[in-house]
Amino acid sequence: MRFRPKRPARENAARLLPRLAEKFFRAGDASVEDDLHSEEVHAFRIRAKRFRYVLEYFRPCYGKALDAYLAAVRGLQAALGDLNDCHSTGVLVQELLETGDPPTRHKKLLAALDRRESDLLEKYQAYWHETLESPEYRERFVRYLTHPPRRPANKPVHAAKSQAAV
Amino acid sequence: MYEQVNPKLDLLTYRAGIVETLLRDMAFSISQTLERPDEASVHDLRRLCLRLRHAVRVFGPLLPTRQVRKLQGRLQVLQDLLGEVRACDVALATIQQAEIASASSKLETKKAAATLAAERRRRMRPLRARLRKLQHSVAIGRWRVRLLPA
Repeated sequence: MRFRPKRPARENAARLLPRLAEKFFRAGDASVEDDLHSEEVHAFRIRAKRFRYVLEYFRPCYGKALDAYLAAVRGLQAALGDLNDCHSTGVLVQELLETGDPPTRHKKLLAALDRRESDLLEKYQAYWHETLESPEYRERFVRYLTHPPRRPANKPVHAAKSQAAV
Repeated sequence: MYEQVNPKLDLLTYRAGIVETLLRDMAFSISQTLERPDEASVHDLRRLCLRLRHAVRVFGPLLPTRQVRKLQGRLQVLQDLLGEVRACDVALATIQQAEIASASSKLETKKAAATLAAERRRRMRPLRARLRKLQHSVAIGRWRVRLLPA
């Protein structure tokens, strides 16, 4: 990200965040293509998380309306998180139990995790299509990021400089 | 989380507010985790560690390069240790979810839970040692001074 350090944070946010949002949508579209597996969706999960972090850093530059967009990204992350949890549990259980001494088979448990993973993958795809796929929604989101309100709803209480003294 | 940072400030001062907030929360979270190393504390600290690493990366061009590299390394080590413990917590919670527990056998779930709990205890040891070291060496305070010189 190329910042302009001497310009206000709000100006930097308005310049950088819309581009990040567009990249996020493009990556999301690619992640819901058919025949994808949890491992492939994992890369997008990391990207979505980073996008949310940046939105949160610049949250004070925007109004309360950003919270609704943030909630949508959080919802997406929750779906991706559940999927990842299920996948990583399968891997860990297999690693710890089946390669243990003595090795134990957990056929039913692993089969249940597999089924759950498939369900969660579908759930994630449905969330993307329902919540974040609409072009109008995306346009609104990007437009909002491009034009932060002059007076954000939550007024800052302290300046960062005074915080540093705490 | 960063509500108190003033958006009218120039980005250099603004990023100081963000990093300052994360460092302060992290110092508190380290004490919490040492005091009570349960699932929630480990999760909170891991999230803060991820956020701080990310903030240092994003605002890296506006921070002292050498210090950023050092801090990234330290955070990576901590994050790996936290991730190891978190993986056990996630697995324990997942196998006990109704959808999975009902489709599996009680015996398999019980055995897996016992193994995961033992593994968590084992993985907690190096994490606890690392956190103690960070706390005793007042690392967060040093990071703050080096990253955000007055």
